[in-house]
Amino acid sequence: MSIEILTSGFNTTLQDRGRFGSQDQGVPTSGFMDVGAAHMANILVTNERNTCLLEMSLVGLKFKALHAITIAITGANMSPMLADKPISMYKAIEIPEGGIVSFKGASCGVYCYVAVFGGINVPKVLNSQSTYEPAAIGGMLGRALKKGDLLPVSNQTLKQIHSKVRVPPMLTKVNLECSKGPEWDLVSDKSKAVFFETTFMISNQSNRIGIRLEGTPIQLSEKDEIISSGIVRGTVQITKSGQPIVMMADAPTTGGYIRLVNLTLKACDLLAQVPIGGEAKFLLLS
Amino acid sequence: MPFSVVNYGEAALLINFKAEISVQMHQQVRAFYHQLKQMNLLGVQSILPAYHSITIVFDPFITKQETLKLLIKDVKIDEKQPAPHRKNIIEIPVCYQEPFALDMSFVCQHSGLTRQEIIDLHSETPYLVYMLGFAPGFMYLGGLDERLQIPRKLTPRLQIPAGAVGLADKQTGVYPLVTPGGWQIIGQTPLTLFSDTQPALVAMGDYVKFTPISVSEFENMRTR
Repeated sequence: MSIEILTSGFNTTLQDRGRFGSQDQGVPTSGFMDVGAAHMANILVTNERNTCLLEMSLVGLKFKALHAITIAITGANMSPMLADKPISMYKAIEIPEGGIVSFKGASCGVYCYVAVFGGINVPKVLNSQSTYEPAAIGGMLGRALKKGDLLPVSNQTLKQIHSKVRVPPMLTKVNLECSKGPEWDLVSDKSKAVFFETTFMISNQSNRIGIRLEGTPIQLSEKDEIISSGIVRGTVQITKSGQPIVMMADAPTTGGYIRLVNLTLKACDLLAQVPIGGEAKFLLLS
Repeated sequence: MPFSVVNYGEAALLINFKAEISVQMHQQVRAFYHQLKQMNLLGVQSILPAYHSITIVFDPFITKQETLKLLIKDVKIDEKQPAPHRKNIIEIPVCYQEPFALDMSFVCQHSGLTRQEIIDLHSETPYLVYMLGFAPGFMYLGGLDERLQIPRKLTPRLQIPAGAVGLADKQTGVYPLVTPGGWQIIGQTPLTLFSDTQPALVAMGDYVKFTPISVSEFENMRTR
C-alpha cells in the first residue's frame, strides 16, 4: 500500500510537528517549515493536524499512486497536475489507482505540502517521523526522498470531500511581527533603530536551519557573544557581522549569538514562504 | 536561588539564572531541570538546560505563558542537596595517533608540548558535561588544562569525521556527526556519540574521561 516516487524534486522530506523531548541531547526539533500550511493540508484530508506529510522545497516531485488515495496540497504553488490536467490546491482530491501527480518549480512561495489521508507510515525515531538530514534520522531512512522510494500510505480514500478553503497569499515582501528577545538590552537604541528601519533581503544561504537576511549591518557592542543558551523556532540571532539569522525548524538547540527578537508563530510561517531575494522588515509588537 | 522567567517568543519561556559558567550554577540548573521534568507540566514539549538557563517550549494550543509562569514561580530547590548526583564517569577511548590526529603537529608547535605531553594532559582528568547542545550528542565540557587552550583554525575544515576530538580556545569536545568545523583535531574516538538506535551515551552532569588507545585498538573497536 504505497505511493511511488518517480522524480525527486529539489529537496522533498517527510515532516510532522517535530521531534520534541530530545532537545536536552542536542537534537533539533525539525518539523514543518510553514506550520499553518501543513496543518491546513492535514485538516483538509481530516488527518490530525500534526500528521506526517511531504514537504517539497522550490521544485516539486512526481509520484504515482499505486492505489486510490486522497490528498490535499497547500503552501507554495508548484502547479500540481494529475496526469496532464491541473489540479486544485487547498482542497481534498482523490487520486485514482495508477494516477501520476507531478509538480513544477514554485511560482510563488517556497514550501509546498502534500498530505495523504491516513498519513505516511514511516517509523518514528525519537518520537517523531520528521526528517533531520544532518543526523540521518526520521522520514525515509533519514534522507530526502529519491526516485524509486515507496512511501507506505493507507489504501483508504476519504468518502466525504470538504469544500475548498480560502488560499492564503504567498508573499515576496513581508512584515515580520516580533517581540523583544533575551538580549534586547545588550543592543543600543541606535542599533535597534537601524534594525527596525532596514528592509532586509532573503539570502541564498537560507535553508531549513535558518533564514539569513542581508541588509544594513547591526552595530553590536563589544559584548557580541553570550554564554550558550537555548534557541527556538523564530529566534532572531545577530551574527558578529551584524546580519540577522531567523532560526527555523532544523535550528541547533543552543547558540552563542545575541538573540535580539523573536518572531511570532505567524511571522515564522510567512517568512518560510518568502523566496531568496524577497524582502522582510521587522515590526515590534508593543 | 534567584532566577527570572521571561517570555521567549510565543511558544517558549526562558528561565535565566546568574550569567556565569560555574560548577555551582550547573548544579542549580540541573536541579531545577529535574524538578521541572518531574512536574509533567501540561502542554510542555521540551525542556532544554544550558549553562545558566533553561528553555521551555510549549504547545500554544494547550497552554500559555501566564499559566506556566504561575506553576514555575514557586519551584524551590534545596541548594545544599542540588541534584541527584550521578557521579557517572564515562570513558571515551581516543586514538591520538595518525591518521586521526589531523592537527597534532600544529598543537605541538603552538603549545610547545610534545605529543605525549598533550595526550597525558588531555586524558588525565575527567571533564564535567555542562550541557548538550548545538548538534545531537555534542557535549559542552568544562575543565580543559590551560596549556591546551589553542585558537581555532583560521579557515574551518569542510568536513570533520564523526568522533573527531578537538581543541578550541577554552573548550575541548567531540564532533558527534560529520560536519564542517574549525577546531584543532588531536584524535578520534571509535564510539558513536549519537545514534537513534542506542540510548544516549552521556547526559548533562556526567563526567567524561578520555582514554588513549592505539590505532589497532581503534580499528578493533570500530569493527565490533
